[in-house]
Amino acid sequence: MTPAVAAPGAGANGAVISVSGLTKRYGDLVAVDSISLDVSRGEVFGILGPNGAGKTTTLEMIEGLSRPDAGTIVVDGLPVWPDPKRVKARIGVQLQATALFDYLKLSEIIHLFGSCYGIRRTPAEIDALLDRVGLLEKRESHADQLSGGQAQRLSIALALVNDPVVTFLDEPTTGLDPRARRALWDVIRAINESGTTVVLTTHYMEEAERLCERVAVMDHGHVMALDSPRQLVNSLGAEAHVTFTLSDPVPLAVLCELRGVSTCSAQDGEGYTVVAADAQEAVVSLLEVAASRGLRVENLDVQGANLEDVFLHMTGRTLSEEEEEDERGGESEKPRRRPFFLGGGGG
Amino acid sequence: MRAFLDFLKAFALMFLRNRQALFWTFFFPVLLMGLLGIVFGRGFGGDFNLAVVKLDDGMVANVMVQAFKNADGVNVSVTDSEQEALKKLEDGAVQGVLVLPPDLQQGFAGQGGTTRLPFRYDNSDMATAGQVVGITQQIVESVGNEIAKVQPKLGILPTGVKAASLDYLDFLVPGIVALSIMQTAIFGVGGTLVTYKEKGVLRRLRATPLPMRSFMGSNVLLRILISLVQMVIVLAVGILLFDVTVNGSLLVVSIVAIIGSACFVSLGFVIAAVSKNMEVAQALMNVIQTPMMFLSGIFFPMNNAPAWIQPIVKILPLTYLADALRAVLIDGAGLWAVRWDLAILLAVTGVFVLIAWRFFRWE
Repeated sequence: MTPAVAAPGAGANGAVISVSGLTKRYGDLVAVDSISLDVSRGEVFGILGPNGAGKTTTLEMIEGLSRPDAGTIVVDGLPVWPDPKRVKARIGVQLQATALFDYLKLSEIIHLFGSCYGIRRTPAEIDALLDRVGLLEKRESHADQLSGGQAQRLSIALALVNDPVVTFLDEPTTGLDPRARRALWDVIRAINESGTTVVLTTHYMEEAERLCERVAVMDHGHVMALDSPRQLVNSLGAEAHVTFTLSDPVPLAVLCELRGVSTCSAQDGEGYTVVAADAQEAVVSLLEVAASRGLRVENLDVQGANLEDVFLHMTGRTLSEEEEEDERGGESEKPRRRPFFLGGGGG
Repeated sequence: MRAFLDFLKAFALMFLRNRQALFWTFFFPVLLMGLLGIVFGRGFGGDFNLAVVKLDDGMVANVMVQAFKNADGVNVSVTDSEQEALKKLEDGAVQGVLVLPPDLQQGFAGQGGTTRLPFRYDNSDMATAGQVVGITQQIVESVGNEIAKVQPKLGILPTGVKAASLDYLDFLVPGIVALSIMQTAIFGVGGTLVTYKEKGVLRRLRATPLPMRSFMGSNVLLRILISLVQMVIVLAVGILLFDVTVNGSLLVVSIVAIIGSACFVSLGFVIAAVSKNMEVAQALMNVIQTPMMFLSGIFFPMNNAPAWIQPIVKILPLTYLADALRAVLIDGAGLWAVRWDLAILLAVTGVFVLIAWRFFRWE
């Protein structure tokens, strides 16, 4: 099951998806408003935005599930519309919240989806695919016996059953606990490393930052920005917040004179926050001052700018404030997202 | 074609692994038939009481009374007052009154046709009535044969209900088959489609190059096959356990069943087309199926139902399926004899398909 794909990281002209002027209206609502973007062969491309931003609608048009009102989409050299069938054969799709057939074993479901593409998978191929998503030991289980994370992995396996050129993952980790989410990230990375271009939507900052080579930030049907996560963050020129406590209080003025610090404040109790463009310089300076005064620096925390700040900067809102309905009005059971701390934090 | 067969196999597997579906599909119709058969059917109702009004003292009359006294399942009381006997019938003390008229001996001696003995019976309970008429007829005929040693010179002249041959299970079995066909088609197609729509399975499949007709077609074919298996099971149990007489050819019966199944499959598509979710679909299925169950002549004939109900009976498609199956299964009628029933079923199928086509949404 080696994906039939050119070498990953093909040149700038190696766009596997080209979207231009793509528009979708539902009555008066413009769900997607004339967006254009290219996805390069071999990359992990993220579409980041809150619920209702138009991420899923965009994906559905590219996948051939929903007909655009205007614009063109070319996938792997083929126009998706008006007849999306040929493109459907070359892509893999994982939809939000797809429950699958009850009473069928995983191996049977994969076999069945293979035949949707006119492919007959051998038992060995089915096992290999299940192994890729870490579900080999579940091959005899029924789909309704899987946990949330396992069901998502099955769903991703089905998005690979036809060795697609591009695979689309629509909010693959929504509703999963952090451990299951991390496990899924590894699966997605492995898929990409084997040569498949991955396009995913997410409203998790961390996911976009850790997985995606490039990210399109969407809101209200527009692409607000499109670049690598690092470039997006750098473009803000945002400053880092350094918070800490000291074993004995010092006058605030001392902290304001630390190198590179633009503002400084004392919090209730004994905590302090300084804001600096260069967090490293500010921290080194802080440690020097503390040492010279015989103080201990405790609870040191550096919070860098992240995509959350990018989103806030561009829309005036934070992603995590968004609790509006999903764009298709459906699922309400999504767990509340916690605000994201510390760019790239955790292990 | 490959995908069609793969989906047919997958649908079959899902069906066979769903114990609840198996129960409702195969066990429930048999259970229903058994229960109704035990409550109303032949051979399960116990003895019945018969009053013989003996107005003649000839040999025939005496042999007749003796025959009834010897017969199993009948308690005979002999009287010479027809009035008294009829009063007992009205009171429910007896279920039938057989009159042996004063000229019985003479009439029998003459070389005329069959002598018909006046017979009145309680037709408030059709099943019992069938039993009463059947047994009385049998005894009278056998006595007639015994005496004349020729083909029946004696019979009874039943007054009460239209049908002379009234065996409740013979009536019930085609009804159960029709009901099963309806339920399998409506639940199997309407129910599963709405579930798949609601769960996003249809969307997911539409993201593949699979032609939707393979998916839909395999589901429809499976439901039709299940209906045929259901029918065979119901008939087999009816014949083996309940002694039901089936006269129709299996081929003709199957053709009628397939047409009926197609009709209700298309109704299932209509339900799937207009239902946003399973709750709506469930409610719609109940609203549609309940009147059909009780007003289409499944459990009892609608001939005697009040006139105002007849138009409702006439617009329910299940009425025509039950009619056709009854004619074919019990009377051994051919396709031509039930052509109007079949034509109506096919026309209704066409209408349903158009409605489903017009309103169906994939998500």
